[in-house]
Amino acid sequence: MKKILLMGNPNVGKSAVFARLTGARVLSSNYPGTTVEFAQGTLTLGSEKALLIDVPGAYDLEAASQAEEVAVSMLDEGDLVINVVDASNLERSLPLTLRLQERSVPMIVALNMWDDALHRGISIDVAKLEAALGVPVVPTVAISGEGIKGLASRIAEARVSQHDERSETERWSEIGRIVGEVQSLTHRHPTFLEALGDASVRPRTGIPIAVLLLVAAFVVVRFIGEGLISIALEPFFEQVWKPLMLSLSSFLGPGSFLHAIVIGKLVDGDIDFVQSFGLLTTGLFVPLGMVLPYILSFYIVLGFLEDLGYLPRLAVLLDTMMHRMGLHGWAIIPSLLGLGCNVPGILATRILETRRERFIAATTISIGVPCAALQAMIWGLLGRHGGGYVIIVYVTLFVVWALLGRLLNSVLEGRSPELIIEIPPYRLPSPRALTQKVWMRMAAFLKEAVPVVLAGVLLVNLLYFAGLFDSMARLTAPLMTRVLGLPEEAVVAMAVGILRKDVAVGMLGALDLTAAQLTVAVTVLAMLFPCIATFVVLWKQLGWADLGKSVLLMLASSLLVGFVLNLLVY
Amino acid sequence: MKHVSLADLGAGESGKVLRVSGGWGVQRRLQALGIRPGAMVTKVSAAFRPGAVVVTAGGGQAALGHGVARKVIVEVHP
Repeated sequence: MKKILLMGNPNVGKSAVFARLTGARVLSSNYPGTTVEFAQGTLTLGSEKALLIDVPGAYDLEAASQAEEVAVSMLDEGDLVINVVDASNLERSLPLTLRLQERSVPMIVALNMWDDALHRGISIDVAKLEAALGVPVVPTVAISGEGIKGLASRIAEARVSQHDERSETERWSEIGRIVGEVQSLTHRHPTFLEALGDASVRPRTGIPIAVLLLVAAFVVVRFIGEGLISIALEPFFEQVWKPLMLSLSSFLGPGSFLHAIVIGKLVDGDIDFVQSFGLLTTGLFVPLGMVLPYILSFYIVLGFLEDLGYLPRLAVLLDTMMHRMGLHGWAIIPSLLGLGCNVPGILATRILETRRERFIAATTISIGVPCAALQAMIWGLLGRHGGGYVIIVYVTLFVVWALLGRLLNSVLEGRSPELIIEIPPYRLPSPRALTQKVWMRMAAFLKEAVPVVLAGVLLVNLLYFAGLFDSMARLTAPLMTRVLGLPEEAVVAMAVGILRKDVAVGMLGALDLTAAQLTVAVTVLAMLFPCIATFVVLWKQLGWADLGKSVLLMLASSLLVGFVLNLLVY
Repeated sequence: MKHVSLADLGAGESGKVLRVSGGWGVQRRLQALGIRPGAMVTKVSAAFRPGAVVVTAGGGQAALGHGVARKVIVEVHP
């Protein structure tokens, strides 16, 4: 099968073109570096099928970053290149195009973001550009699908435009010549979005905008999440699902083994969706009734900010603060992704340049950044005792995240590299693309999290029957009671946290803790040990040695913080 | 005519890049973002020092950490 490579600068919409050509669903956002691993799919060209590979973005072929190395090594295997070029910024895109031309690989150019260029008063003479480059050029708007058919139909025309390797100076003068020849600019006033973009990076206006946006994001996440729970999910579980489960309960007969597994224990003769702990009661209610609404609302808000192009601007504002943690501003993006789920957050640390940075970022995320599932449970259970307790948890975790970063920065050798990033223009998110992205992330949650929750609930029941929990609780009793001020059974919830943190909080909910105890318990749980899925990516990302250090830091910091918090909240 | 680094350039001021010091890797990444000798750049924002700066160059915007910004020397015509 023919191999077609999709190549271009970071953030020119390669993933959107990929999705359009193959029909596959891939994640794209308005910031460079969304694709850190390559994706592949098939497309049909006339009667034959071809393999399309979405190569991570690269500015040229010198292989300076991890992503660029991947791009260069893949170039040798490809039969044909679709070079995706940002029509609104030809000058920045052409260096790669010329490099590819010098490699004598058959090529076709997709002049993407065509609509954006028009809005900016940039018009490009496509015929002249074709002549100048010697390869087919097709204007596209990948996000809406415009021009994609034209692109697909002309892939067969891709050709080599032989050119000797140019010197650096020759390349720039060639770019200057081409841009001057094919592009004409219409002068116009800056648009509202452009003015807003500039205001977002100036400290005097940018910091208020950042505070406003983050508060608004938080309020919207809560509003949508709570709204879904009170309008749809709680009525469903209480009025539809519960009667069904109650009849199943009397059919199975309370006290039977099967009843204990499927329904769990009855609380005052009734099913309590948090405390009963059966597969079809708590096992479904926790992921679908409590966590899902928050995952959905979080990803709607995050997706909006991503596609708008806000995150790189936040990186600029926070650069100084992040340097104190041995990172630069860009590292705020993995941390924000970690608020949804630690797994993509830790994967995104690959956009950072050095091993030192990746270690600091991944470790601080797995200790100090609570995922949406955990947060939903904290709101659901601890929130009942008052928002103040929830705020204590958030403030504690934030302080731990920042202090741990500073500590690692001063202990580890080396220093943080400097920020050098492209700031994309603000773009109004396309509702269709946003919906698709949210859907992809939701599907991943349903596919990956729900089975683990069910497995966790099942395991807890089986171990409970085997009597293992009692011995575990006795063994660690001094630690739990004296250091953390928790009942000795709390250790079982901590252990279950290894599987899923949301299930673990559910177990804490069944322990009848005071508000103060619950505050200490969820904070320790958040920091103590990552869930199994996070643990696996952490290991892949860091290797055994660094994973070991990371885990030691988790254990030490969580016990210390739990101990201090326990003294403070009483 | 004066020579200043991007860190010292005022917000809203423009200049022509004279030289970029620093390692090859840094120079190359800056070049990819349109910051290379001979190019015109305009500073968009000056964060509280020592913060990152944002400049318009080569048709787009780029953010540079303070340390990198000090390595880019521009020529400003009054």
